[in-house]
Amino acid sequence: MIYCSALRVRRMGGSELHAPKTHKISKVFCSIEASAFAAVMFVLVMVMMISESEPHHGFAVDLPQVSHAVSMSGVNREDAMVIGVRRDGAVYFGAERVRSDELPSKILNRLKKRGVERKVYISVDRRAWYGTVKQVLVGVHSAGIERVAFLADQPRRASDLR
Amino acid sequence: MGRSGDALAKIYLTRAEKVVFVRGDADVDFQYVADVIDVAHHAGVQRVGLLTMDREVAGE
Repeated sequence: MIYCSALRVRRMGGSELHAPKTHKISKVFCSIEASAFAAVMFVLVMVMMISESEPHHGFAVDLPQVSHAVSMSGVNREDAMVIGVRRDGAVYFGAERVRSDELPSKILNRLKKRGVERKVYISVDRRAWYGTVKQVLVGVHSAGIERVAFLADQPRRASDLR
Repeated sequence: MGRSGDALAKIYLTRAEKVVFVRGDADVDFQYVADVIDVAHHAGVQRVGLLTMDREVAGE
């Protein structure tokens, strides 16, 4: 089950909570908002893979298909930080298999290199469990990264399947 | 965009802070989460929060 909620960040009216506007309600709502930001808050986009060739990062995944992915050239950079999550839950940092709790040190280490983009590209198999992705996101967030892009494919057209 | 996308676009049309929070069960296939992020982004949402600490939002 997925829940998607749109919360008012500044104008937090009591009517959204089906309760009269009171100072107390607002405080409670604020604390929920703060903890949400403390969890993982990213500028997230779905990035379309343009190249059909074998990825340079050494793991193969069946990417999710979405309709409005944007293209980003950064993912094709040789020094791009690409994390892979396979269907079986295996996590990769580049070509190296890692545990989720190793990600912060791996990312911080990579950031020491000059010119590395402070952005992580995550390549998740469409059938991987979201629980595994959450663990990866916690690791990414711990390293101070706020910009994350998930790699995606465009939906296949009927003509492509023939 | 679909019904959920249209509804989100309407909600965010007048908002200054275009933020959305997504909470999903651990055993959900990532495809569904990707769909939600995609629809939200297309509806004009600028920042997406993925809630990882389920306990933190239990009181919502």
